[in-house]
Amino acid sequence: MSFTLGEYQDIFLEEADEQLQELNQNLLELEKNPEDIDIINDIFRAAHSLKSSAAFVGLNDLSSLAHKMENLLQGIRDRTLKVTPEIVDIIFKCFDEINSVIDSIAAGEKPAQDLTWIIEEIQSVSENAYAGASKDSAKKPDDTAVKDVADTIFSETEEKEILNALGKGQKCYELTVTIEESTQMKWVKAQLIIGNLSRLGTVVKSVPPSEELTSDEMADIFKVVVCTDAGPESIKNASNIDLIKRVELKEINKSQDDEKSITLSSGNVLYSADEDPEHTTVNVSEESLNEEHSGSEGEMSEDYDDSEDSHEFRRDKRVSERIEQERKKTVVSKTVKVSIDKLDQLLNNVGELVIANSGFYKLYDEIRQLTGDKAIVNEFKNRMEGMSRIAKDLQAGIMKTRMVEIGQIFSRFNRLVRDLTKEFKKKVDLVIKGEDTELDKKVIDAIGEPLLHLIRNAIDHGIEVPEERKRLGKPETARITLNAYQGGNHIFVEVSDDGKGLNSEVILRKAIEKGLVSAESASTLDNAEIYNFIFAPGFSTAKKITDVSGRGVGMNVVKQIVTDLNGSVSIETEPGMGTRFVLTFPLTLAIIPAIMVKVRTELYAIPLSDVVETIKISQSDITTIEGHEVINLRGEILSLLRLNQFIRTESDLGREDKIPVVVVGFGNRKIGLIVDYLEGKMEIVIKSLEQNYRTVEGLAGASILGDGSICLILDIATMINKVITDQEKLTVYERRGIIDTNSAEVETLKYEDASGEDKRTIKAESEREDKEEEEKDARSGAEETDTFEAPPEDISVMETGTMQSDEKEEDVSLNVIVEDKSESSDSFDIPEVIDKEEEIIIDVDGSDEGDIADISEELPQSSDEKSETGETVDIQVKEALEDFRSELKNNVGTALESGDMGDHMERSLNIDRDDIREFQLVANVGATNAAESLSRILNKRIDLTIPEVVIKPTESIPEFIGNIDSAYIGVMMPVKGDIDGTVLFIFDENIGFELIDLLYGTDNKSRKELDEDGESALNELTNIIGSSVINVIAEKTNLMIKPDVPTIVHDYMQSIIDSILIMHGMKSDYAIVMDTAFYFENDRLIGNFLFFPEAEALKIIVEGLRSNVGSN
Amino acid sequence: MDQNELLKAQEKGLIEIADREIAEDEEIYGDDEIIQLVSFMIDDVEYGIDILSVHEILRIPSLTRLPNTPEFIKGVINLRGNVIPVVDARIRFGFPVAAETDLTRIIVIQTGEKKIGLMVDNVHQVVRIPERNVDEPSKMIEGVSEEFIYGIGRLSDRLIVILNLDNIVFLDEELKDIE
Repeated sequence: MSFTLGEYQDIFLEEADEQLQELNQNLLELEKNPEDIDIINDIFRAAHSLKSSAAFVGLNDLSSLAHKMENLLQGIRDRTLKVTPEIVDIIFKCFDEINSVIDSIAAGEKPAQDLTWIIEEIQSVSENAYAGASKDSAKKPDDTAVKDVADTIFSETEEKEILNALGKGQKCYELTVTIEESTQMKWVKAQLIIGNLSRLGTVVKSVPPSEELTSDEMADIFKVVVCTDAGPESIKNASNIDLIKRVELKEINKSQDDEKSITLSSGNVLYSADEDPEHTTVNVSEESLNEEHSGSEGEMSEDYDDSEDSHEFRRDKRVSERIEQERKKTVVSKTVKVSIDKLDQLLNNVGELVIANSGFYKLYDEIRQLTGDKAIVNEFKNRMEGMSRIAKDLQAGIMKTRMVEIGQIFSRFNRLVRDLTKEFKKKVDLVIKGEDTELDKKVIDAIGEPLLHLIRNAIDHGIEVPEERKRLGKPETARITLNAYQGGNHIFVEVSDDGKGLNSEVILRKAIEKGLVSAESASTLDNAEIYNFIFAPGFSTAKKITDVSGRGVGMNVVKQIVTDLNGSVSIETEPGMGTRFVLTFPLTLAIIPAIMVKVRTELYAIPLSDVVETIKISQSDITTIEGHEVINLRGEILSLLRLNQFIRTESDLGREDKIPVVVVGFGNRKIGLIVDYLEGKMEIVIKSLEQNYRTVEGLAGASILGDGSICLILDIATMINKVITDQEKLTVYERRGIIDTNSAEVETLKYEDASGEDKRTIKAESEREDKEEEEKDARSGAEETDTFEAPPEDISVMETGTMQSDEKEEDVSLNVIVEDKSESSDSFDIPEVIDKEEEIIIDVDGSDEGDIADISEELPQSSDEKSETGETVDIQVKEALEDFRSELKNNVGTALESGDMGDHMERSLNIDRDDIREFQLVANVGATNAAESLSRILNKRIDLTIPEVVIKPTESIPEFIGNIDSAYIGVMMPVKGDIDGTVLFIFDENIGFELIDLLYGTDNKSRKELDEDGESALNELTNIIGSSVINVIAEKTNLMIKPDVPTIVHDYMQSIIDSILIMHGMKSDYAIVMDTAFYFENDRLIGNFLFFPEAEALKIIVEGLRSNVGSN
Repeated sequence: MDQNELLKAQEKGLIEIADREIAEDEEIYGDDEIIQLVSFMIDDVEYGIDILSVHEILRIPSLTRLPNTPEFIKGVINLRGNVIPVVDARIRFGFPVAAETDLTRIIVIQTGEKKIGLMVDNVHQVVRIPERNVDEPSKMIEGVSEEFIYGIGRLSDRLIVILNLDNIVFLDEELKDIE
């Protein structure tokens, strides 16, 4: 039976792993900055948690090791020990031991590691280090961590007041309120609570005093003493506002022995954001308090995320620790760990929902034909589309939850690099970029090993020893860069070094030696092909084998793992300069683009990543050698495989038919797959056959199409392997014979998008541009050849040519469950019938039979055009940006007059209306958030208008917002970071005063002037709602946007707007404004919330949205 | 009667005696387990599947042929997003192929972690049968090799071949593949 630690094992393992990583990371930092107290504290905290959780699951050896380690750290923290390399090394050793114990447990073994030696070593190291200094300081690990508010001390008058109130039958309570640590402007929260409480009774005292509660320097905890008739329930309501973590209530009573003094009852948690089970056991002296137990009855459910913390609670009740834990808890509890299986299940269900929903489209068509009532039909359509959108969002959302930041993997390598460089006596800096790039969890889990191999190889083989580097004039310290970024539908992960680069001669020699390539064909290989040999099994050029690399397994494993994840590896290298490995992964694993092909009535999908090109050939081009069919494709022998034979069925192809061939490649090999029909491109969701059956030869899986039918996905690798064995049997003589015969006449085809996706949808920007360019190409190509029959908007083009959709009679519904990469609201998977008329041909060779020269002339021409278009676009964009201000100034007037600002925007900013709409959607979410915050703060229902993004001449803004002649209060909050702009919350001055009253809970109708308190309340209000909007924009665009300190202008509208324009140095006559209005529930206008992004800012936002759109 | 059959008859007899003894025991001790079977007919043979492993029963949905698999794998179906292989019971149990009719059904069965569909000519009824009326499979059952048989259920008027589902998909696949 395998060893197990019981039900908490998994949690323990996972957390221990995280803690160790954190420890490793921090210790590396500490080595660099031995004085940084924050790092020491972090290390200390992680070590401490590790100790407690180890003890909790019964790993006492581990716990005592962690304890020793903690003592050592304690010395460092107390400055009685110095951070020496000796100490760092021993702590690293500890980590390794702990790690090996954890590994054994994870493997189901009983940990047998003897830890005594290391404990002794720690002992000796610490004794040496102390060198006679007091050893006692290490014994109390926690006393410096105490963080609490001092006991309230009452002055005589206050005591009297309390006794007086008690005498009148009122109750006195002391509230200890803990505010969320991350909260901005905590003092306003404190003031709000004090204000609320003063409405219930008399606030006797607050610690710190309310006069001092005016700056953000206040601690997270404050106390209020209130005398009131109200019960604890009302107090709870009064103090239960946004971002308050915990409220503890103590009742103040007369002392029993002395009527003239007062005592505090023990605390009772009135409200707690994280349901701390510890407090369920406190004694409560008054019955009245008992009923206020506020649901904290041992609620463990919230704790599964950090159960080790709560276990620790039970073990150790020291206050200091509790606070420390709580601080930690607020950080951790923001995430919930969910098993990937559950997500997959959910995704499955949503996929079903999307399919089920697509059924409505058919229904819609029928209804439309049956009824003449347009209103009903339209209503039906709207609802149907709405539902479809929700289903899509849901699907995208779940997809997104599978995405994990790559940083957690990257950071592991700091330690590896440190250890390896020491071992190899090399100097290396590890530079990490793009940590926040998100990848599918499955990729994240698997990517560690390939990266490990690549880094090991870089350090072992790539990077020269320091002396060598010096000789070469390179910096002695080499640099290895880990980088991750998203481009289009792919995630790129790079490992690059500035070492000596790959030596193609050595690789080629080795390849010939190993028989991977014959000496004669070796001369035809280009560099990329040569470099690829390093991925061959057993390939190593290392002269000596070290224990980290050189055994020739590593690179093979890298390739294997990456390929398994539908990814690819490419190598860029420059002798003497360095090497860069680029791993490319699809954005999500579940959905892949594929070429759909048909044999008779059976539909099959070929993953696009395996497709080289699609061509059409004639029967006469095919040569048969020993039963194998081959063609000469542009001087290259291409083996053919008839798909119908592979899947054992008949073919529809007649003798005279042109034969569609999908050229598929895997690794360096390619073959031609003869199919009956090409059905275009589609995005498909991969489902495994193994789940309910087993692997089937030649099939990579299945996919469910929009009509619910199943389409099988071909496994190209198996097919190629099967054919290639045959191909290799051909003799050199036979090969030459084929090459000498005339090259096959081919039509290169493009893939038509069969999924019926809306072509106007926004794709990731780069892809989008490509597409546009190619579309242009296609159009111009059509004009030239004059055989272009389909309307251009129906083309979605890929790389190589144009697709010919064959004529066929039967309607095939080709709708797919697609993760819609565009977030655009107006794209749906409408089951689309491939019309037999939809034929797109570029008949390259025309009537000129067999003349391949036409193609070669055609191709470069179109690629010239392409680059030309690309340059033009670049220049256009540049010019547009440079001339932006002046141009906009000139044009905005006319644009507004003609009511067509879209054209204008598009031209000058490369922003179109879809982008604006996209921004509006984001703004909408932000504004809704803002309204929610506002409603919570004011404790009133707040309505809002849907934000409008408009371009306005500045002079018309005041009229646009309100009455020019009345006084307004405007709170301007500048935003800074990746974009600049200003948030303006503007309201009539009377509304402003009302808001101040609402915020402070005062009723001062006569307020006519803005005092300091009033200003700060409005500032805080704007800060909260402004941040709600800004945060959403920042999140959706992946931009760093930070709110700045707000300022208030109390003036006429025009002056307020002018202030903003001056602030931004906006000299032009226009502004891009996001505007939303907030209303009280009785439809009374509160004010307008505006966001003025600077012109460039809007562009950056739009770009951010575009590039982020795929991952949403 | 040759010796083999004689032996079998004897064996059968012995089993019957043993059964009677068990039955008597159970009569004394009462309390007999009842198993419920979903039964279907192929030609004149009645087969039963333990109802606990039956997930659901479907009319024939659209089937996608699965190439490079044994003949008895009819194809795959989409069951609410799951891709499920369908075994043609007739082919699997060695009956001649028959056309699909309105009565043709797919019984979705859970075996271990996997779901499979068994395509049958019809679904006959649900039968309750006491555990003690289930005999060891004899080798004489027509058509179905014994690996698929869990036991023979005796009812007053007829016999039901109770299927062992674990082997329905995978057994003998290797052989068939080679063919």
